Amino acid sequence: MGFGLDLASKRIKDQIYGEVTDEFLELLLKGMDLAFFFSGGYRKNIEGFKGRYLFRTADNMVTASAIFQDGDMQVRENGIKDWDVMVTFKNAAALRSFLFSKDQDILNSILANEVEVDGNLNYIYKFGFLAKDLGRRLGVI
Amino acid sequence: MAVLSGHFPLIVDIKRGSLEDGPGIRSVVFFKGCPLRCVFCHNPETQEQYTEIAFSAKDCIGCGRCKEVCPKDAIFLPPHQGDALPMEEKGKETSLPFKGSVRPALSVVEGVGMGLIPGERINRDKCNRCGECVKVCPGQGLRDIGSYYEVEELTEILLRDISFYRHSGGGVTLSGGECTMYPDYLGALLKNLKARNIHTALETAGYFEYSTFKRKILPYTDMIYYDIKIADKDDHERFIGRSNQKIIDNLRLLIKEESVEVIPRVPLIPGISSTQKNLSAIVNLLCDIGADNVSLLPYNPMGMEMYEKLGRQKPLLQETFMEPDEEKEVYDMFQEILAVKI
Amino acid sequence: MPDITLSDLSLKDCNLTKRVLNLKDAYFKAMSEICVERPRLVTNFSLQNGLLNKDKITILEKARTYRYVLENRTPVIWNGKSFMKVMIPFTFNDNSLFAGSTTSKFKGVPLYPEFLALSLWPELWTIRNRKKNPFYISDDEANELNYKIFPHWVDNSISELTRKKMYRENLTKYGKVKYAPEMKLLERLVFFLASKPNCISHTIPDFSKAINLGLRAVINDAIARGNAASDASQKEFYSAIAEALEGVISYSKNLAKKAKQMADSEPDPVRKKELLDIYTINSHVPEFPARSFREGLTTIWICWTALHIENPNVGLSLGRLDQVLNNLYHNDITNKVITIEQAIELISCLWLKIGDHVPTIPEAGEQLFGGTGSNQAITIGGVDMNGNDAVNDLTYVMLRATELMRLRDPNLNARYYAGVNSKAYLKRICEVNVTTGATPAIHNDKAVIRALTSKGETIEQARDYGVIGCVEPCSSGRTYGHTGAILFNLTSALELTLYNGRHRHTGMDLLISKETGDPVSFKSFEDFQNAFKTQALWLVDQATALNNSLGRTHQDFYPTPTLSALFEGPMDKGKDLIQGGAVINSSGATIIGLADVADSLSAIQKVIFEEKACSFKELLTAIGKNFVGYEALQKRLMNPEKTPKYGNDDPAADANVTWIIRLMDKAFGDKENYRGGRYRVGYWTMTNHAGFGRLMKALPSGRKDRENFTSGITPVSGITPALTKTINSVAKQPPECVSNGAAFNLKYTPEITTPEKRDAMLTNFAASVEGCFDYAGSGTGAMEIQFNVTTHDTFVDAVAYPEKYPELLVRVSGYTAYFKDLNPQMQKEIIDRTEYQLSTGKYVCYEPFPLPK
Repeated sequence: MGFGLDLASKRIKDQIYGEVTDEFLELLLKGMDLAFFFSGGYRKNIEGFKGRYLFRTADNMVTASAIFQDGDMQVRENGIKDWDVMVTFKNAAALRSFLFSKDQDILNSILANEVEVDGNLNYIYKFGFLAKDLGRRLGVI
Repeated sequence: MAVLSGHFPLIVDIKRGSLEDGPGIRSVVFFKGCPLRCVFCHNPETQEQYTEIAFSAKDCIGCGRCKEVCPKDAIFLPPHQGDALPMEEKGKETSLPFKGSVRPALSVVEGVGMGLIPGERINRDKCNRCGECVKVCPGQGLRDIGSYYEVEELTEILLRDISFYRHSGGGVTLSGGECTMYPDYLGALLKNLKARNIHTALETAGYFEYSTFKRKILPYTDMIYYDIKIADKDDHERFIGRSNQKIIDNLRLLIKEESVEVIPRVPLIPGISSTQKNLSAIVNLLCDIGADNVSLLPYNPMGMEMYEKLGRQKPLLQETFMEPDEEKEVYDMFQEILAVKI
Repeated sequence: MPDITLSDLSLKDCNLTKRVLNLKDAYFKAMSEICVERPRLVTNFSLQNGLLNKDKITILEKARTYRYVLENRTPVIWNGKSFMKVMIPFTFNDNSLFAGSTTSKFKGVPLYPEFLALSLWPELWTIRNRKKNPFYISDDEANELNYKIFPHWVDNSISELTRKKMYRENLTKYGKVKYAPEMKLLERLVFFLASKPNCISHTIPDFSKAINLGLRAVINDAIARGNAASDASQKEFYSAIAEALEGVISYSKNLAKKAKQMADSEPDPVRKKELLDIYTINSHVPEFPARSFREGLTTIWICWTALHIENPNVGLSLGRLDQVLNNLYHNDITNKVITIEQAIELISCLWLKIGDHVPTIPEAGEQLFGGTGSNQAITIGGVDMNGNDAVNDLTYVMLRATELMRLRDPNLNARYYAGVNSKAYLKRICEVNVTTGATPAIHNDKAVIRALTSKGETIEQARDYGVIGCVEPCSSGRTYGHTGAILFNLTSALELTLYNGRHRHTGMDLLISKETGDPVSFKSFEDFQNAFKTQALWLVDQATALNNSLGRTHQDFYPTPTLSALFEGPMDKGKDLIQGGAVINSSGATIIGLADVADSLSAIQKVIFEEKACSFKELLTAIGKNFVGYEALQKRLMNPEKTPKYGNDDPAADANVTWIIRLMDKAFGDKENYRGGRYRVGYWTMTNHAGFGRLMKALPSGRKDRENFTSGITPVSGITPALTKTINSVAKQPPECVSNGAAFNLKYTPEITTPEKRDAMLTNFAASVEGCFDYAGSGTGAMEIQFNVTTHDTFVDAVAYPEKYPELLVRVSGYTAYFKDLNPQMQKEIIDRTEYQLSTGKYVCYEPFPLPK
């Protein structure tokens, strides 16, 4: 794997296991992007997949989008329209909990309004897989 | 009769779904008031006929509302752990309907002196039992003992479990205290129950006026649990506060002349009733009377803490159940006595 | 009227054979394994035939799909292998008397990508290692699901199809983009759950034609009706029936063929004979009528596997097997074809097969549904359609098999008709409850029949009821009732009332429903009741609207021809169950939090409005702070001597319960569902009462933050010390308003150390049931009662050492589960349930069990 992925791997691992920071989402998306570039197996996950994801905090301070199409992923630091799924999260810890169910607290995240999902839930399931699969490939899970 | 006027029967408890007070599933009504003063009474809250206030230290959360409303300033609050309140005086009159002097059992038990009730917060001398404190107590720290129910009201409550009675061979048991102190009320209640074919049982210590009992209560009674505690006349006066002559006479009459099922029972009190002397004497007495059965009631220390709740000194009795082998010894002894006699 | 010929109703001399003991041992050892076969075959067929990303899937397309699956599934006679833990495979001698299995695995997780299988997507690499309820999956299987199967269903699952439809409709209606408010409300989870994204199922098929006539005759009938029909959709319906049933027959024949192949090369003569028996039987049934008890059971079994190819394994139930199979059993016994012990062996093998699958539960679901099996209920006893005693020898044989097997699935339910069924039967049911500790649940025929007839069933239909899933009664084989359509969190209606249309969980800034006023301004208890009613009705509106919308998606995309073929109604009407083909149509809701809400209402009524001992402002502050600083108030609210509590036979408290029950029955009953039926209400809660309880804050009843709600229709634990009072409080509730069933949970201390004690316990046990079913001599009573009969010490030990108690069976709230499978919150709830000692009638008081940190 490339140098960039090693570094990303370490930083993602820190975020998943250690203290999560506001960079969590950015790292995760960038990590995915890199992994798609480097790993054929990982890239296969998004062959023929079309999906538009919007992530943001409730106050819109943090926004990021991921667009999957033509077997590729584009990460943007701003919002997009016409998303398939929108994830609004309270903070990075909430998002981490939601995606990696670190404390097995998915239900609580949703219920405490820490994470809200609008749109097609299957897209979030897939995204959840991508996140976990990334973790697996990087040896962090 | 003086005994009837002015005393509404108060009920201490209506125990539902009991399997320990007669055959089948039963409701048990505990009346308040008893002519006897057994030193070993395990339901002291049933002795006096008037309402009483029970204070439970372990249920008190110390909110202090009781103190605020007490018109007699009779309530102490923590931290006054060491401050106990004076005991009831010896020889104080209690409001018993019967004539004759009564010596409160407290003074006759050896070794019982004036003492301190741990955790007590009511000065019983000042307290007039108005019950204002109970009204404001949020939990079960302060409770009224003794409520009044109209006969019809009580009947309705007792009928609620009629299906359980029917399917278990159960019914209603009237107990207390001494339920026979209220022959009119009891008779009316029993009549209502018999009208619905409910099996009725009484638990009695036998200290009642026989002709009244026969006329008002007996016609509606299916079964009587009759407590015979102490055979010796002097011991009976000493430990129970009254002569046992009436008790024995009543039992004799019931067994000889009536068809009601009578089950004599001897409550076991270590050192007092569970002695060889007493049990032999009781067996002799019962045979003489013509009883055909008798059973022992295991010692029940569960009521001891109620004394303190009522602001009374606990009697000097063991506060644990009898050890199994100790109990077995008594039962074996009893079997032997019976074998010899029969 | 069937005569009982058994000399010993308990059949205590009949025991499990070595065969069954081996299989049972393997069953308890085995891990659940995800099976990819069904989703693979369904996906392939759908892709090949363009069935994805369409506007509709027809019933014929569905029938062909299932025929394809059934014909192309690998016919597995005996599995013989599984995994103990992730890396530890094991094999065992598998010689079940029934061939085939629900999935391709010994204990499988069937997947339905049309429904919620995709919720497992994020867990594909972690699900085999997760702490609670792990599912084994191989790397290949995970890759196949990830790359080849799941992607095709992203836009094609029932919930997403519904969402898309709602977005479209609401865009036109309101001009709002991506707007589906009922769906959103569902996804907030605290208000209600709707199960249609997961399944409908929840019904009892009619096996009688399959057993008595054989499927070939049904196919011929369908073809004839199709030819005679003029309506195109009817013609299509009948074609679909024929198609689907051919698939079922093919599967059985494939099994037969495979068995013959194996027999031909089998050296062991015993095994060879067993295989040849399977070959003979499966060649004959279910195509043709069953000729023996074993064939009858095989017919049911094969149809059952086929039904689970089509219908998710949630609450599909088997009905009155002691009635359906009685003739075959009786003939075989009379003609000495089998012995009773052999019959028990057959039933035990079948029970194991029926339990050979578990539902798909994602990690997040463990909290709300943890420990659940597929809730396949079997019903015994009761009366026949003419009201005569239906208890027969087979009833007792099935009881004995259940007693010996102690499985959580199938879930045995015993009907009792007081005065018609014998007391010996009742005593026997109580005995099985004591020996197994948890089963069967007991249903009150008189109350249930009254409930069903009040909803429109004829008396004959009502008498022929079977139990579905947890506890829901339905006329067997003719009611499509989706009894678990809505799980309604009543405490949220209370929240919305207390907070003027808002909920503490979703925040005070978000208006969820409508404003009914700040309770601080209410002048009377009636004001509060009216506000509560408004909020409850609003929630009912949302939930039923969503259910109806999801139902219409099911109509367009998920007709069920196999189930429709094995059902009374569709063949006559010429339409699928989803279109209203059943004789009786309804949808069922169940309520969570009855006791907690009723006690809250009683507290508000007494303390705030009657005594004015506390203001509403103070109460709201107190519950907002979890009673910190308000200990005296909490004590007062919790004090059953001063604040009326449900479960103490207190008229004031019980009246509030009745008020709620009537309110909910009317609110739901006024709603029509999407196939011309109405909604019915029940009170059973699975583990939702613990799941929701853990998330919800303090209430006016005195309950504190995060404490469990109470299960089913049961009063709150720990404050109801008198057994008959608890029972009466429940038994007096109107059965007509509880037509979707109720779970009344009681716990008794086992007292069976001597024969006398045992007999006394059983006598009192039976008396408590009779008292429950005949409230104050009125002739009717509670709908149902169910028990846990295990000591407190055992439970506490089982928390610490789960591996010591792999078979410890408990009654949750509706279904039975293994104690070790429950999450800690639910384990605590069971441990904390009020325990009654039948020898004294007293309740046994324990300290609340501490939740592990």
